[in-house]
Amino acid sequence: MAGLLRRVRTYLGQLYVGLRLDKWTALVGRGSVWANRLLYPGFHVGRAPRVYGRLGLTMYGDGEIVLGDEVQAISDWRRSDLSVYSRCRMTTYPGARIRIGDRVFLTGTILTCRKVIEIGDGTRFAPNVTIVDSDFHVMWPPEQRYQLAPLEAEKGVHIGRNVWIGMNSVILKNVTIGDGAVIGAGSVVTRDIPANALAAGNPARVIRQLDGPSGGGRAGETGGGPAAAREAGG
Amino acid sequence: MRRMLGQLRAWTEGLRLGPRLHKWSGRIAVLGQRMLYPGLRIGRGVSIRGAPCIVMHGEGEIRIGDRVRLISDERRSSLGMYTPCKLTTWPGGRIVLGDHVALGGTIVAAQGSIEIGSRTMIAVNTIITDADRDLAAGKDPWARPASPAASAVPGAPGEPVGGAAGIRIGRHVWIGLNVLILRGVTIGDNSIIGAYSVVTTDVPANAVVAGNPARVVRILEPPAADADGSRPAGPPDATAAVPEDTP
Repeated sequence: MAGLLRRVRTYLGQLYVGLRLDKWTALVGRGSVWANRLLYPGFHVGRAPRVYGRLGLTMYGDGEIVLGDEVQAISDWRRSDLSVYSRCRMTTYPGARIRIGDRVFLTGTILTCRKVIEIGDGTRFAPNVTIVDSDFHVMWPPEQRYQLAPLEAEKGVHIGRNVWIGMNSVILKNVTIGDGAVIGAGSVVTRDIPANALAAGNPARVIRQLDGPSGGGRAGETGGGPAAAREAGG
Repeated sequence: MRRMLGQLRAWTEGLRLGPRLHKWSGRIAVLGQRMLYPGLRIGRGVSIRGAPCIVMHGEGEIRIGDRVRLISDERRSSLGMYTPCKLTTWPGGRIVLGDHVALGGTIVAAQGSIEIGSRTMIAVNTIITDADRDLAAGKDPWARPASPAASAVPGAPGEPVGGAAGIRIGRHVWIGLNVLILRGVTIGDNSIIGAYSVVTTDVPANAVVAGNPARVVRILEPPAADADGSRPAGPPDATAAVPEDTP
């Protein structure tokens, strides 16, 4: 019975009716957010969310997803200046918690959460970023890799405020990114990134501090932002 | 005539009958494909979600073992799946999936031979292809390569055969998301390929590799792993996250 209910939810939570005109899609997207709220008691939306296209929401068991005020989620490739490969998806496993601050911009962002994912206010995501806070499978013995990995040691993913994350990046488990950091495009973030750092690469390494003597101020406020991303491989 | 048939086949591939009841549409599609492609063998108890796409250009062979999972519906994946599973063979190409292999939104394209050992798990958006072009001087790089079946050692790793060399993936391998595995690569048993890696060289057994190009981060020794049971110090191997029916 629980399984059936879950399936119905998974299906309905992503149901999408209407014309694929931009304006209407946005409206339907909002409708879908509210429908999701009805379906999932753990799903909370702040004031004035802007959702374009469908938001893919799956909550197994009792999780929590909290969106702050004025969150923007683009799931429709037409609405992104680049393009998105997949809609915005948020998946929580039992007991998991996703918290997204105010004025966060998501663009085809995939959040898969078994423990906790926290995103601070004003953080912006370029298209196709994936955040996964667990390995899901035990590493050894290989015969038992279908089993879920234990969660005790996991710390989750914590992203500070005003972070800017380049496209096609992935943020893996137990990573903390400090306030104001910039992650270059295509990065694979496996370790903590300090505040105001520019990091890029696979695996991501800190390239320089943006608030240092040569940093040129906060990215995004000076001309250093896009150039920095370009330097970082974007 | 042959060309028309080919086009018809390629078109029927994407055809989905009926509504998107994900359990059945995929199965119907695959059964239809079995009739279309004599080289396609499907084992028992294959689990399909969504509509995987199988395209065989000319003569080829695709063997899908028992209880293989082909997850092609993004709703069934915990991660973002960019595309359904797609298996492609060019003339003479061969894809062998062992028993209990789990693919989620994986693209496998074979000019030579691609073998995936049993119980290997592959996460979303991974691309496994041995397709390449012959860039030797005096050759037309855009010419279709000769069939590797004509060679004595078809698709032997490291041996470019008509522009293609095989890929062999061992048993119990765990491949993370968005990985790219290129031609001529052999991956040993029980290895783990980190997310977003680009695998261009052979991977030994029991290894954890990550990065672009993928490098060995550490070797998983069975006694050591049993002793401390800890996770690797290096980049985490990140989420094969093959979508499960039960979370």
